[in-house]
Amino acid sequence: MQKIAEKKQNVEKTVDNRKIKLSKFKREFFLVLTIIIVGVILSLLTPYFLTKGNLSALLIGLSAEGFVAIGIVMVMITGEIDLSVGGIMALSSVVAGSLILSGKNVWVSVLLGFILGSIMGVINGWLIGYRKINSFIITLAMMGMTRGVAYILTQGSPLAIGGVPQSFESLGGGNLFGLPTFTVVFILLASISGFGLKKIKAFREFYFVGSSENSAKLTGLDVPKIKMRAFVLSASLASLAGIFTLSRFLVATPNTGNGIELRAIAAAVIGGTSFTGGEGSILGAALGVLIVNLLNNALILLNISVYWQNFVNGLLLLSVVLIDNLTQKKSD
Amino acid sequence: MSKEYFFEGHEITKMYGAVVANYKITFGVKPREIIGLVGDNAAGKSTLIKQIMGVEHPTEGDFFLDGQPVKINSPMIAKKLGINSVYQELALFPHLSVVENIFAGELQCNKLRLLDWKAMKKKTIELLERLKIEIPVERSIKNLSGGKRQEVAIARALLHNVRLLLMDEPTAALSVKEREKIFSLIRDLKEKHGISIILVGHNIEEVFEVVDRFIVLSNGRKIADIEKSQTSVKEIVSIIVHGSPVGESFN
Ligand SMILES: Nc1ncnc2c1ncn2[C@@H]1O[C@H](COP(=O)(O)OP(=O)(O)O)[C@@H](O)[C@H]1O
Ligand SMILES: [Mg+2]
Repeated sequence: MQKIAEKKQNVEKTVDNRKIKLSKFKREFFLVLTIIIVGVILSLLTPYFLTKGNLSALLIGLSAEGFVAIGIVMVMITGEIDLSVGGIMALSSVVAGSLILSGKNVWVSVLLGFILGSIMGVINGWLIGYRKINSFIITLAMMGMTRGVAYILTQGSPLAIGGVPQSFESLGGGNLFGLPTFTVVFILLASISGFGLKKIKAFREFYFVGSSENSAKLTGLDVPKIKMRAFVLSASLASLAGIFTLSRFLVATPNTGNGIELRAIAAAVIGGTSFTGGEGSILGAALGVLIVNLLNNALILLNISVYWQNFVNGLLLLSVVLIDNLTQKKSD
Repeated sequence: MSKEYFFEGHEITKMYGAVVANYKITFGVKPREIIGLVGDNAAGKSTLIKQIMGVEHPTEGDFFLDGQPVKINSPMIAKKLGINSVYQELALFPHLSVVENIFAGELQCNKLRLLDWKAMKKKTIELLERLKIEIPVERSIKNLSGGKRQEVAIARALLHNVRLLLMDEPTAALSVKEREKIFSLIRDLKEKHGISIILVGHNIEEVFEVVDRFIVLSNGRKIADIEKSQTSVKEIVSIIVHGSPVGESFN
């Protein structure tokens, strides 16, 4: 009798575990399904969708957002938000571009632009983590300041950088293993971060802080330091996106990454990242980035005015949040 | 220092500015003993608990472990000495699994410095089995009932070898049935695992069921220290309400 009871319990346990695993991937499953459906519809509506030119443009286009979305996911897991990513992207791109134009070595310029962008993350992290000021306000201010500096440095006009080495051009313009290098790097970064969030302590701690800051403190976690880490990562990834974008267009413009925070946050939320912290997945966000870009690609292919883009992105974010809100109420 | 006590506090005084939260409290804990630390609101119970756990530090007075003076400067040190606590607010992480909650703040890595979930899961299962707690270890805390959450919080405090477990109002937010479960777990901890417990509670009738001895605080002072066999629920309540000193406190 007891054996049977034990067996039953074991079966229940494995069923339980399976349920958990399934529900963890359910969202990703739906996202992949959505991507396939939208892809099929698009390819039926316009033969241009599946051309190599369009697909490669789509992939390059989504890569910058992908970089940024990874950082956004990390920050959001800790329960904070980073609105300064677009501004930081513009800042590092413009600073690197200006230095190149002034005759500095390309790689030194790029490195300085990257470091400056990352320092913005240190400032965010200090004010939010150590001074405990609201991240919405701080990164909103930082968004204004960083993009402002980009405008001041360029006086509002794009800086074309010519004659850079092929090695730099190929970052944003080249191909690797048949894919745009930009996209390959994105996939690489996403894989490392996804792995890190599961297996590396310094990353995993984001979930603890976001799930309950008070509990994190009581269990001895260094909450300010962990938040600092997330904001520096986010800013570094945004800077890197700025550098790659500079290499892609060979033009430094102050409106680089304009509105990217909206699209990256939308992608993260579509991918299951909670805006109250404690939850988030890189795979989900990557699929989210793909969906956002498919939709924008569809607008272009279907000859819908570009003025619709912001509206559609906003509507998408709103819809996902609403669906989450409704389905969560049900399951509670 | 008495031989029967393995842990002692000697004239523990804690001031918060002008507020005297604890005043010259002297007490001892025997092996395999449950002490009910009771008293009115603001009597100083939580303050005493926090000092034993190293969260707060005595303004004056000393702690002794096995007759040796010990400085409990932090919760880390308390844990090393075999002292751990279950916080009133539980300090759990709702989105994370039972395994992660058990190992919160001390996640284990393998040789490659990667998180060793397999080992942590195995240890969690062993720990819960040892305590006869039945909870699927991969489930998120937010999907557990209040009683189960409390059990996870207790289990976490017992991950490492514990001689003295501090519990500050562990059943405050639970239903009657869940409370019974927790009290039977507390009894088991003493009887089957030989752990001593200092239990803070305000429901004297309930606490009376599990403890061996009462220490009553009032206005930061110890006003009674009395074996359960020598007293009754009524008397304890009366001491708390009227503040009349009984027992050895004025020796
Ligand atoms: N951090 C603190 N700062 C100032 N006063 C405190 C602090 N913690 C506790 N106290 C005071 O010390 C006294 C005892 O509090 P406490 O130990 O929490 O009592 P109890 O747990 O018995 O209700 C109370 O008067 C309380 O206001
Ligand atoms: Mg208290």
